[in-house]
Amino acid sequence: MKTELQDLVERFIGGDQQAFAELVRRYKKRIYSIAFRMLGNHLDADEVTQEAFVRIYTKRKSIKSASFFSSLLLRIATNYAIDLIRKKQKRFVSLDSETGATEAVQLEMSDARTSPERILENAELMDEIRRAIQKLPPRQRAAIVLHDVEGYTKPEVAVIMRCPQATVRSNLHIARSKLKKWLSKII
Amino acid sequence: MPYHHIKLLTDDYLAGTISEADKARFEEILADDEDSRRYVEEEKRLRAALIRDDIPDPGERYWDGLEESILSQTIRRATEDSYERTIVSADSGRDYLRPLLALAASLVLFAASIAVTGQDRAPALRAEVVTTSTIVVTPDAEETFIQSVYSSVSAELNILSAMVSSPPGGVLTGRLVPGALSSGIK
Repeated sequence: MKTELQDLVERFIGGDQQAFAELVRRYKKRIYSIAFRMLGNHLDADEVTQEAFVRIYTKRKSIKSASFFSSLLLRIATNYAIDLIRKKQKRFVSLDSETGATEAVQLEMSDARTSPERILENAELMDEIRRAIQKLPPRQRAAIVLHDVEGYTKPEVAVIMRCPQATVRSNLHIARSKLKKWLSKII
Repeated sequence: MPYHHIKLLTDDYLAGTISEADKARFEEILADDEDSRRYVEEEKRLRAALIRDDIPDPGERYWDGLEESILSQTIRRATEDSYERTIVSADSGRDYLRPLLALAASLVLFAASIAVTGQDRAPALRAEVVTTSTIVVTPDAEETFIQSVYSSVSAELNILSAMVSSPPGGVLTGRLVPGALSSGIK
């Protein structure tokens, strides 16, 4: 028996705009949330969300099943976010090399700002966590956001990121070690 | 240092996906080993902190606008795609006819050249433009060539009549003005 989602996806593949509108309604917040956590700001999250849906629309003929729809959508969004991070990193690296600042120095500066009074405030704590996530390399960031924050399983993350589960495991392990080190004062 | 076993299974333990046998062994180690306990506690706290990180909600107006923007973009792209497909299919039809048209045009030109010159092949090139205002007639210039050129453009260029009567190797100089030759033959 066909589920409602299967029906929607099939109609969407056939070019039904209403079905696509419904899928956008269902998945927009999830995609935005992943993008925001990976990129740390509204503008980039908005760009990733819009582009992910527009791209899946153009690739709809390659969707074979309803379950593949969400995997493909998440993959497109994650890859686009990773590309965006890399582009920004290139820009920041060139700026850093001009000013002489390094990531390590920036990290220490961030730690120095972390006084016990400030971390008591929830918003500040969240800010620190976000900042720490932003310091991770793109693929480690994606693995942490998808697995630890959004709750996808390792096999699901492996499908989304198109890599073996072992790679997901190692990305998660390294990312968590870094986060624990960076956030040791506040968690 | 926590046990390797603990490091490997903490994820599954915290997610609740660990097998009963592994869970028993895992908890046994935790009970005995301080480092392992600390490691698992840190992992638990980190996950809790990450999950607590709520992103700011941009509001219903944003979500509605986002939806509209996505839908209008996809409709625009679909329209562009179908327009491109129409152009491509129309072009592919023309592509099919193009060689035939080229062949027909060549035949017409060939027939016209025979009708005008009375020859079945075009004469060899015997003259060259040295500058925009100088024409050299090479020693083996053939009158037939000059005449064939003349027959096609003589109505506009009286200069060609001068070339016909010029000696081999002679150089014509002057401005090429349709209908007139402003200077003589060297």
